[in-house]
Amino acid sequence: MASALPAHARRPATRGLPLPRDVRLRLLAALVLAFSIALVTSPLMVPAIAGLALVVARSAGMDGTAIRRALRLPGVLVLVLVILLPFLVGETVAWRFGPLTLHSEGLAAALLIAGRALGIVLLTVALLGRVPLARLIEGFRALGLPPLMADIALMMHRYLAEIRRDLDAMLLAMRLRGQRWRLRLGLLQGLGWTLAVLLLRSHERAERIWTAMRLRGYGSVAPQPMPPLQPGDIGRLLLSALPGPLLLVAERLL
Amino acid sequence: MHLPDGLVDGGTALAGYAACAVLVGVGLWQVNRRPDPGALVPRAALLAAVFFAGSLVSIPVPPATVHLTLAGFVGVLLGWLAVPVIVIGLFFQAILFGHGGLTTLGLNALIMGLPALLAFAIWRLAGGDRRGRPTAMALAGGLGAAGVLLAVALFAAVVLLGLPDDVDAAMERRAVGIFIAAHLPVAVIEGVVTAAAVGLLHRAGSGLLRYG
Repeated sequence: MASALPAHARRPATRGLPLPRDVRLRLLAALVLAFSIALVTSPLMVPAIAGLALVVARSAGMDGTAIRRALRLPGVLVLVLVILLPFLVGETVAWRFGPLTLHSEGLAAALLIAGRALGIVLLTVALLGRVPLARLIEGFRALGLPPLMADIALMMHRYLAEIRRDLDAMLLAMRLRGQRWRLRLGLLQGLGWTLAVLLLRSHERAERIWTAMRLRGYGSVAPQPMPPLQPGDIGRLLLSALPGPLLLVAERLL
Repeated sequence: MHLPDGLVDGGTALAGYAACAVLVGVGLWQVNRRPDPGALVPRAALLAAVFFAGSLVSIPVPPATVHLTLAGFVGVLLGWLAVPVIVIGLFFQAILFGHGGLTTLGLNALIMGLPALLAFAIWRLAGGDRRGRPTAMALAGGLGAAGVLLAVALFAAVVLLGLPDDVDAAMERRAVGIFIAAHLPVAVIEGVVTAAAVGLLHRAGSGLLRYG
């Protein structure tokens, strides 16, 4: 089935939520859950966010190592804010140690930001991380992504590995020619020229490939439609996405 | 310079998606008015791949390293297609490397896309592709640097939106000032790299500099 996920992305759906197998529904589930978490404004909901994200991750077959790896992704900015906010925001003193004062309001804001960030990242990785990019683009196309953008995304996916390999080779060549990787005009000029050469070399090839694709009929006929959605998969979508809106209802009731 | 998930509230993130959808819609409408919009696919896909790969190159700025944004460069070369291409590049970055995020995709696309569109507008008004090589390089370099500064200012504004209301306003202003000042070297770097790239494309007589 064209829209079904490959075997490696369907690892042990043992415990927890039944996740949709169809890539379109998986995208919808990821968007609903991610935006539901983003709409949470109370730090009291952070344990529920963490619980939901962990259940989805386990349901997607992620083990402890994969979860830890995914949680490294939110990056430096979230870390900096989480460290600084408790000291910089608020007036209610929660803890004082010499010149350092932790404020309750700042702690609450840091907890909320960290909870939302980690929850959304874990959900995104769990639901979409192991879906091949080409399959994701097909899913987006089926959900209404404009054809021109879908074509650009598919072609970009095709060029990406090639461009990265060429760029790595050209940067290595710069180093082998004696270019020191220090901040100076020569390095920056070299980088600019490298980007330009990369474009010049690849552009003609890309045009040829695209022309050949169109001559073989690409674009003149509509892409093969994805198979119809199965009732079982729609049920899985409802079950896996429903906790998101429920999170918001629970927040209102608190 | 990517906004991670969770930093801004859902309403702001949704507003970012809506504004980004408008820019993407306008861009695609402009492109679809051309006799053969599909002919732009290879150039756009290639630029998207270079935007993606180029932004992963680390440049040493002691004590840290910085990455190119290439927003001005993409704007000059892609014009109206810049925002759709940036959306695609950012989506790939979010899924493959966790740079940015799924809910902040719209905001990140605005942060990169608005400077790209501005660069395109100025490049086109100034007739950058018809100028001599030194002028084209200076113009492109200026647009590359200005693109970074505009992106940094937009990024700072959105981060401030995401912070709690009771952050001291004076401290916010100071932090934004420091943040923008810290990115001045990045703007200079981006300006030099963009100028060098455009200079070489100009010397090669490449049609890539002529939008359409």
